Amino acid sequence: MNRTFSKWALRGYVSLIYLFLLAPVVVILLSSLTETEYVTFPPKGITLRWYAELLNHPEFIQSFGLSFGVAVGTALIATALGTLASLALVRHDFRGKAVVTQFFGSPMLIPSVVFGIALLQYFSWMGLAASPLALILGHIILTVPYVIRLVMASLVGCNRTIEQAAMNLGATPLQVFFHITLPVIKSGIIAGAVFAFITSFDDLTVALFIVSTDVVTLPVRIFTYIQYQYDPIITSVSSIMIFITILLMIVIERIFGVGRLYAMKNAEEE
Amino acid sequence: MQPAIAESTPLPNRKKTRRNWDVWLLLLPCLLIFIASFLIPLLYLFIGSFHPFDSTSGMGEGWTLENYGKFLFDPFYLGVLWNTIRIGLVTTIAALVTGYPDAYHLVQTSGRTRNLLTLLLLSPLLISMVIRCYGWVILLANNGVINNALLSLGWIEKPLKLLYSELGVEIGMVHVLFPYMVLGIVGSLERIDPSVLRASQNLGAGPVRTFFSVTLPLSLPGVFAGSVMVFSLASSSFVTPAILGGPQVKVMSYLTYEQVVVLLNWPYGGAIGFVLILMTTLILLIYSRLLNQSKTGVAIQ
Repeated sequence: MNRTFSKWALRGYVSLIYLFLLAPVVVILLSSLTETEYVTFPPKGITLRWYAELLNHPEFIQSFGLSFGVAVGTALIATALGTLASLALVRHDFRGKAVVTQFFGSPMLIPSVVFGIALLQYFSWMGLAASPLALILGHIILTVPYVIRLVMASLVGCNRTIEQAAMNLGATPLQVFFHITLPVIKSGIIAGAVFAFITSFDDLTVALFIVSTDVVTLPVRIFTYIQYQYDPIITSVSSIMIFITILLMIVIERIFGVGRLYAMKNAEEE
Repeated sequence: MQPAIAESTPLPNRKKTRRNWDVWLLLLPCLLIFIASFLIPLLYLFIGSFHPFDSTSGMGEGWTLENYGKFLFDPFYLGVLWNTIRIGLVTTIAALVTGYPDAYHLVQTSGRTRNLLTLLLLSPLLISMVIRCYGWVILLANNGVINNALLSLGWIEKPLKLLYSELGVEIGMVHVLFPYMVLGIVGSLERIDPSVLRASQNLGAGPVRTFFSVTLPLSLPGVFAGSVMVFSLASSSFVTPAILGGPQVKVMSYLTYEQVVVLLNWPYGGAIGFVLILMTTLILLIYSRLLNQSKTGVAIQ
C-alpha cells in the first residue's frame, strides 16, 4: 500500500517536472495562434496571421538566412577541422599532446560573454567589420571542442586492425581513410556537425558583440526586438525555429540517439 | 577537465619519428584558427584590461592596475560578484532538490519509456536559449500566465514581481540547467550495483532506510558533478539574466556586457571578464581536486 503510494507520488512529481520543462515552449507555440495584437496565453481565437505577418518583416527573413548560412558554414568547417585534429589526437603520440588537447577544449572553460567581448575588441583592432565570416570564426571556436569530443569518442571505438589489413592489401592511406575509417566514425562526425549547427544557429552571447546594423543573426534580432516590443510576431518566429529544431532532433535521434550525444558531451564530468 | 581525452592510449606507433610531421599537418588548421581567433583575442583583452579608460578612444595609453583595483575595492562591484554567486547557489540547490527525484525515477525506467523520457528531458537543451527565455517572459510577466492564474484564483491581490527579479532569473536558470543536473545524478545512480541494494534489504532495512544509507551516499559523486556543472554554467551565463533579469538584476556577465557595449569602457569590461574567468576556473579546480580525493578515498575502502 505504502509502496504503491510512493510510486504514484513519484510519477505525479515527475509529470510536474516535465510540465515545467515543456511549459515555455508550449506557451510560445500556442500564443503564436492568437488573434490579438499582443501576446496572450491562452490565445484568444485561432489564426495564422502572425505567420503571414512575417512576410511584412523582411528583416526577420534576412536574419534567418544569415543565421542559417553561418550555421552551415560553421558546421562544415568546424567538423572538418575537428575531425583532422581528432585523428591526430587519438592515433598519434607526440610531444605536447596533453597541452594541445587542453587547448582545444579550453573554449568550454571561458564564459561566452568574455569570448564575445574579446572578439569585439580584436576585430575592431584588426579593422575587421562585422561579417558572416567573423561570425563563423567565432562559432568555430565555440563548436570545435564538441566536435573533437564526439569524433574522438567514435575513433576510440574504431578497430585499427581492419585498416592495417587494408594497408597490407595495398590500399593507399587516402583509400583507407575514405573507405574504412570514415564510414566507421561517420556517426560521430554527423553528430558533431549537427551539434555545431545547432550551437551556431542558437548563439546569442558571442554574436551580440560581432553584429552590426546590416549583419544581424536571428537570435540577436529576437533579443533586441523583445526589449522594446510585445507583439506576437516573435512567437511565430520562435515557433518556426522550434519546428526546425524538432526536425533536427528527429534526424539526430535516428542517426545517433540524443541521449548518447549528450552523454558524450558531458563526458568530462564522468 | 578532460580525462576522457587524455587517457585514451594511442596504439604503439612503429614509424614514430617519420610520422611526426603529418601529426602536425593534421593539427595545423585547427591550431592556426585557435591561435588567430581565440588565443590572440583573449590575450589582447587581457593586456587591454591593464590600460586606463579614455573617454574619446575607449582605451587610453599607459599601464595601470586601476581596473582591477576598482573592482576589488568598490562595494557595488563586489555586490555584483556576490549576486552572481548567490544566484548560482540558489539555482544549484533548486536544481538539485527538484532534479534528484527525477533522476531517481529515470534510472528505474527502461527501454522505450526511458528513451522517451530522456528525449523529453533533453529536448529543451536543443531549443534556442533566447526562445526558451522568451517563453518564460510570457509566463512570468506582470500580466503573464502565472500572475493571471494566481489573480483569478484570488490567491494574490496584485501581480507578483516575477519578471526582472532575481527569482525570475533563478526560475529561468533552473529550467535551462536542469538536464545537466539530472544527467550527472543519473550517471552515478546507474553505477550502483543492484546487489548492494538487495543486501541492504536482506539485512532488514526498509526502502527509506536503504535509500538514505545506501543509495544516497553512493550517488553523491553524481550529485557533486551535476552541482559543479550547474553552478559554473549559472555563474557565467548571460542570456537568462539579460532577458529575465535585465538591468535590475546585476550579475557579472551582464555587467561585462554593459561596460563594453553601453558605457564603452573596454578596459574595465575586460577586467570584469577576467575576474569572472578566475572565479569559474577556481571552482573547477577545487572540483577536480575534490574529485581526485574522493576517487582515492573509494580506492582505499
